[in-house]
Amino acid sequence: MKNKLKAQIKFDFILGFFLFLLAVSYISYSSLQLFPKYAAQSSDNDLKLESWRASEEFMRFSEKNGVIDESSLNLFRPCVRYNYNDAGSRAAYANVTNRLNISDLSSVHLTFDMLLFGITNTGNNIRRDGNVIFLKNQYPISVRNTSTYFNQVSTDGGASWSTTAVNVGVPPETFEILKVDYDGEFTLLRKRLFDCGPNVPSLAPNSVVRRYALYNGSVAMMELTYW
Amino acid sequence: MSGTYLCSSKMSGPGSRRKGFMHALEGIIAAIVLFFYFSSASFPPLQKNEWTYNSMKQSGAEYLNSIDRSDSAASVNNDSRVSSKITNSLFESSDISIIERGVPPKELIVGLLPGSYGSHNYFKNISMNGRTTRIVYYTADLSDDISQFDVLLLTGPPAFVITSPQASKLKKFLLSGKGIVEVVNMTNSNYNSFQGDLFGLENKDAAYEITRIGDGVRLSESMRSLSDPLKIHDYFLGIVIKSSMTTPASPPYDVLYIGSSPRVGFINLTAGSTSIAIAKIGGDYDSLYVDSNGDYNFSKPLEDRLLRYGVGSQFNTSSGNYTVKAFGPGGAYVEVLPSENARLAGFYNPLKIAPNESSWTSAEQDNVYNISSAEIGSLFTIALSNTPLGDTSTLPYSVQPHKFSTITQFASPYNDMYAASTNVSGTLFLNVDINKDTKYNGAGEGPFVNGDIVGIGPENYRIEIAETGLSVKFKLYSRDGVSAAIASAKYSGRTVWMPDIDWNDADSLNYLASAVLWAAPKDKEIYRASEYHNIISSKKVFIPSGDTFQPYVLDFSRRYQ
Repeated sequence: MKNKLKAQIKFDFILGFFLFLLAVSYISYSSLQLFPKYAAQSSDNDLKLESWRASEEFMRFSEKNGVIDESSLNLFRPCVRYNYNDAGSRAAYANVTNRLNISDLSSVHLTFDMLLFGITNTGNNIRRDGNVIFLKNQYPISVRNTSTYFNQVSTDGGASWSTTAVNVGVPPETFEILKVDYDGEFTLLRKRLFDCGPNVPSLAPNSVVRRYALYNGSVAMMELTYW
Repeated sequence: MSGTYLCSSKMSGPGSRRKGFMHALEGIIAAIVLFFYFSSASFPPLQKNEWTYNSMKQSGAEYLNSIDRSDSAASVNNDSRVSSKITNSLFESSDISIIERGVPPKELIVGLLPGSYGSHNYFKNISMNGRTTRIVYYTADLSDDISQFDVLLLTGPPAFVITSPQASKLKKFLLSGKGIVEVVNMTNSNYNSFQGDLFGLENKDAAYEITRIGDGVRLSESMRSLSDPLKIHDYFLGIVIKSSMTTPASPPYDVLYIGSSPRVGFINLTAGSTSIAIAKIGGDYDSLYVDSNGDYNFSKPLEDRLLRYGVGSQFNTSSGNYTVKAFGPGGAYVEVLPSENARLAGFYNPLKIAPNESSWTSAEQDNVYNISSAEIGSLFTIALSNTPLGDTSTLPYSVQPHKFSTITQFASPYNDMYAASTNVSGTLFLNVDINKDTKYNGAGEGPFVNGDIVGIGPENYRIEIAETGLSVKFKLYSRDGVSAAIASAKYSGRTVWMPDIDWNDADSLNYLASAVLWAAPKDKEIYRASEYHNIISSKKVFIPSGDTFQPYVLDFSRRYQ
């Protein structure tokens, strides 16, 4: 029979100490790694859910059978670029956020664009011609190549060319040149019907939703940024 | 494990060893439990949602719907490559993949076998519903790689006799979804089993006779599918015939009274060329006149100048009705489209050919096949008895009492076919052993009920079973037309056979073009993204109107990270 030594440590103590260390590490790990992930995901999901809900509110309010109703859209139009120092701007923005049921703690930026597709299917490597349809009427449109790719658009038969905006229709309405196909096969024109809300803060987590519908016979795109 | 010492004198002896073993086991179990607990607690799964998928799918579907209903739908959808590029530039955060299903591609590569390029007038471009398919021809060699072709075109003369190795290669070609069109007069010297396997042809020379009725050919088919609901006939109706027009020489032409600046030309059709003239009544060429008696005089008879056809009007030709589609600038040409009743001529094959079970007639002559000389509507009756004939286990209700007979109405190979009636709770059924294998469960062998049509060879009989089940009347209802063209969709691809055509007539060339379009693969991937793995798809059916009914499916996929 052996004598017990004084420095002998109980196994229970070792195990208990190990479990204590494990518990402390887990709590530290959770507070540093797991909980922020959950919080971030939860916040991200909230943003997505709310942005989608707000977009649904917009579509429900302004769209009927996939077509944007002009009179409903007009209720959003007073909301232009947000200016905190302008009471009218604040009121117009508040009107939109109320319609979309946006909470006071959140913000949205809402744009609504009408898109035209200019298909330029004839021509050569320098200039290509085609048509764009606006309000059921067909208008000539051309693109030309002044660099290594097609970059300019004309809607007056080549009398004037632009890289930024052109006039389409009678009476003419100005459309922004959204894209000129590098190969000159098409150009995208955009008319922004309204641009509502403050600028999106670049560092704030946000969620962007794009919805599409028909407006005056053209494809329209609504973009809502929620943060 | 409590109370256990690392080293203890109590652990000596057999009882202590067992106790120590149990403590060790407890320790192991506890360690395993702790391990799984902490590992799962350390890496808990985050809550997943389908946000990206659902939102992208919703906006993609909205985009497709908006495009389809917009005023620009026709121009955007006309060229799917441009359409995909436009879509791609709008959907910045994802790559777009668009697959067109059911519409011919912009460019079709046709391989010519056995290398007779240049010996015929081939069509170059086909426009339909505003979309143009450019057809590019190359000579093909079956001893070489043929995978680059969309459609193989086998033409004669000389007739192409398919050998076994060639048949394997053609079958492999079809299995890849491609098409083969054969324009060859089928004779006993070039017909073989491969024609049956690949093209669905059956040699009926020994079995059928022909009842001559007329010279015309009707275009018809029974088969449509969701991926390509168009028949060859539909393609034919959508392809224009373009006739060049020239200033008339006078004489022989008399075009004095049909309007200003008249121009004349022909619509070359298999049933005969139709002489036409166009003139200006309004500011530009807008009127077409038909020389009804071919005398080049558009004043006689009077109807020749009184009947004026503008765009959209139908006029009659020797090959049925055609519709004016467009007048070319300066009266250079006129475009016409065939109407539903358009007919062809000259589709005659030396050998009696019929479709086999896996194929169908896509054009048939007015002439019909027969295996008897009976008149339409005539009857023959068979009497049935209890004496069993053939394999009764192949009858649909084998436990029921049956009655049997032999049809002796026809000569070989349709002589002595067994027939059996079955009475199931008062309802009478008839089975006929058409293929004479003594079994009653083959294709087209029944069970038939009163009023059903039984096809015996090319003859179709309506049956009337007596209430006693002891006799059946067969009334000749119709006869199958002589096949002028046969289509098949075997081995994932498509084939069309037709006899040699008149290569100079516009309608027969258009029928060949229709067959090529029908046989061509039509699932075309316009754009494919490479780096994104997650895919959501929206499908949209487009039904463009214009030259012909031509629905097609756009499979729109967004790929995202």
